[in-house]
Amino acid sequence: MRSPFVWTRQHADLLSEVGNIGAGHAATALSELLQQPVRVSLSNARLCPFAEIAEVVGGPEALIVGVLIRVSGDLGGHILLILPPASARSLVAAVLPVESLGDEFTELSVSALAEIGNILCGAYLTAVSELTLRRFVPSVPAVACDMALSVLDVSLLPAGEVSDDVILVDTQVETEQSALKEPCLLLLLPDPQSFQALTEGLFP
Amino acid sequence: MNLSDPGTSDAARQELHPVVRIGIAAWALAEPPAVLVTTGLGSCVGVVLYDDALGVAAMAHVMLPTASLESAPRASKYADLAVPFLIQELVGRGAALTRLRAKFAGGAQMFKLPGKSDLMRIGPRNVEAVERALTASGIPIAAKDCGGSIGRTIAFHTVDRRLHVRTAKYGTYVL
Repeated sequence: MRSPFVWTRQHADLLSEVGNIGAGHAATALSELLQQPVRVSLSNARLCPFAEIAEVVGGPEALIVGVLIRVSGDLGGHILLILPPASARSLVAAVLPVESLGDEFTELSVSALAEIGNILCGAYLTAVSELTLRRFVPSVPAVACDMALSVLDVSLLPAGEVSDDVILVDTQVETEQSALKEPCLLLLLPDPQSFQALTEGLFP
Repeated sequence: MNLSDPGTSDAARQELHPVVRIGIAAWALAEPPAVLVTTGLGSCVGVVLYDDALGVAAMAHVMLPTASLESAPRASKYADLAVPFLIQELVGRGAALTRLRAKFAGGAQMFKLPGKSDLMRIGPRNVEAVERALTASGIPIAAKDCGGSIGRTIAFHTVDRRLHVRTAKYGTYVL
């Protein structure tokens, strides 16, 4: 089915810029936490068919760690930090040097990942809030480690109620030194119902 | 990944049992010796209906319990529409309503967020909606593997009507 709004090049440009600003702030926060330089790619905003969403994170069955925050308030949506397991481990090791790096994530390392996700996504949302003059209320972070599509599917549901594609703003995050073994991703998925509010905030 | 016989090469297996892949909110129908596969079920439910005598089967990757907002909803996306839709397609291919059976898996809660938001409970609600729709149509449930907080990939083998469930945490098992 067709989306309930018209997606234009202009929307893509605007939301890409939202992603750039949000991810820039998230990178600064991560850099302060790790005490090392953090690089972010240019953000890419698009209307992504469900069939393609898993490719963004390495395929439907790729094992990933996801930190999910549900956003409510003036804008509804989800923001996720997606980490390859190797990067999740190296990140935990960087902030909790005493934690061992077994195959299973301990309760403490899951808490650490939740908090790192919280700091990054919080910085991202604060920047977007200031830019759009909209007030966001983030949920507490939740962590899952499993097949990529199974981790992502809950964040697609608000979009699924009206169409078969989702607004996706993705940005790659990497460190020059060892803290992140492989690049991770920040994903912003605004609910389709909030799309209008978000873009109006950008065209005051 | 290896969902069936580990002793056979992928190419040989593909020739013997062509694999039909189903994406999120999509569906497909297949006849023996095909294998119906859908990957990465989290809160979604993979529903298979099949004629136990003929082996003809249809699978949907259901995302939401009930259709509400869409004006022209895609039946395979919603539990309440998918079940009658798959029945209709199967009967159209010569399946007998009285021989139809159901196997399904998924409906997990991948993230534990506090509060009782409908969004986070969507997995169990999807499972309930599938069960309700099957009961309404009088289709017996032959097997299911639902809930928990694990992702699942499922493969339905039309030849022996078995459902292979693969998980990252607990390996593969057969229903």
